[in-house]
Amino acid sequence: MIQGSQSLADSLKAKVAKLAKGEQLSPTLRTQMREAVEKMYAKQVEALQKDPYIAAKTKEAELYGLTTQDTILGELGAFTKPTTKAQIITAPDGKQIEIID
Amino acid sequence: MNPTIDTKAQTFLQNMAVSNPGAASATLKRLTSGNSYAPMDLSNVESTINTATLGQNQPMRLATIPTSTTAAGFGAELTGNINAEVQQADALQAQTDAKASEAEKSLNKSTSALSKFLGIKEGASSVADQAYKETNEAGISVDTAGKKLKDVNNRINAIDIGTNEQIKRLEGAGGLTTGQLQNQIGAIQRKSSSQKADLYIEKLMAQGDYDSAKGIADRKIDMVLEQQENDYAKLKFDYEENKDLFSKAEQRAFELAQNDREYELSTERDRLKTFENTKIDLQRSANEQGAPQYIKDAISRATTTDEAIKAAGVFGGDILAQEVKKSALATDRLQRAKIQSDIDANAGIGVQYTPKQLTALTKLNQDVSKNATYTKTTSMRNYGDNVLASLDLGSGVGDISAINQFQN
Repeated sequence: MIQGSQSLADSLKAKVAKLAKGEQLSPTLRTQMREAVEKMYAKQVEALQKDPYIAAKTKEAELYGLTTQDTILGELGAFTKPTTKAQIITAPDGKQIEIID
Repeated sequence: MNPTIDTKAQTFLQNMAVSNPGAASATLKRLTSGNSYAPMDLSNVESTINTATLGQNQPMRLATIPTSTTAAGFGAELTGNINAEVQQADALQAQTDAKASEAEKSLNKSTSALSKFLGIKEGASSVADQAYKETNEAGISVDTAGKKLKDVNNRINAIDIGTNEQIKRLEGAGGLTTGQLQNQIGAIQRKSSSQKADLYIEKLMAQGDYDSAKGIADRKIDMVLEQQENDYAKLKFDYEENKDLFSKAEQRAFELAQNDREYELSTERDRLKTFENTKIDLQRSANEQGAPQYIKDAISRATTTDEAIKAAGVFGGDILAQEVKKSALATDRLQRAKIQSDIDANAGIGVQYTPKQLTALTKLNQDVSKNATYTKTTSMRNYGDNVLASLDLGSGVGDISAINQFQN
């Protein structure tokens, strides 16, 4: 994928001079770029999930009953693995109790 | 400007240099760095940001900053009080002296010239003198209180004259908007009223009226913190008025930050109250135990609770232990209130965390944000977003921008 992206980048670089003169990229090239960007980002997110430190932190979040969506990792888009979250209920004596499934 | 970039680009970079010189310099370097990047076509770029380019944004509704009003009233009240007390004291003293003098005249008739000659002064006025010097159970004499009253009165009048002079100069100088002028005047009045309150507290303590002294100290603290409180209230008001303009994450960030600000303000109020009350308690203890004047002066000069306790030394008794305990209890109370507010802030946007979860989440986010793979991922997401946004433009300029971002 990296090689493919590199060759795409090289061919795009060659087109810049023409674009500066008023030409536009073909729809095919635009689609290729779009797909390449999305694939590379998805791969990077996968790599992040496999990073031992991040995996440990995700586990830590689960231990506190948090989902990855609760953390800043949730803002990256591809972290959707559901985890349990603590529920707080009020007992008859007024005390608040934490419940984790 | 470099000859290899066109006039439009020069104007663009000049505008950019005003607000962000670092970015302008980096862009110039990139545009003129030879073959690594193609020169950007900026023919379609607006050189300035105007209301048309921002037209899609909903305007924010902002309130005007409320200025504090307590300081001027509080200061005037202290001046009025002290002036009235001095007049009252002068009248009482004149009355007492007149009575003593009258009594002495009749006494003189029956007192031998010899005892006068020998300096045996057992007249009514000397009895009155003695009465002025006698101390009550709080260790306060009429003489001490009277002298202090006059001294404080003089110093308060001096502060008033100085403050009026400062305000007049400020008003005469011009160049400030009404709001700025009000702020400056407010700051001067807060400072002067705070100094006057300190003097008035000194006077009350010299009279042994410790409860009133604590009352004035509390009002002084409220006055000193009023503007800050107003500022925070305005922030909160503006936020509530414009809440819909912010994302959920921004709302949570604001509410947690606001909790921090309010917590700091409460902590500061508590610290000041502990300090003022400790000083008054120490003065009381020092007076009751007959401490020398230099000890009382040192307590009065102290700028922190610790300093005041150290200055009091053995005359402080167990006030240190009491204050430490009180302070710890107050801190604990404030911290619990803050945790509850943080929970409420999250609950307000539909997410509920326990205090333990909230603490863990904060630390976890801090740790993750420092991780190299995470920063690389966020940076890639930003480049990716830019590529897609540039391609969406469907123009040659957008394509060049997309290619540049893609290479990154």
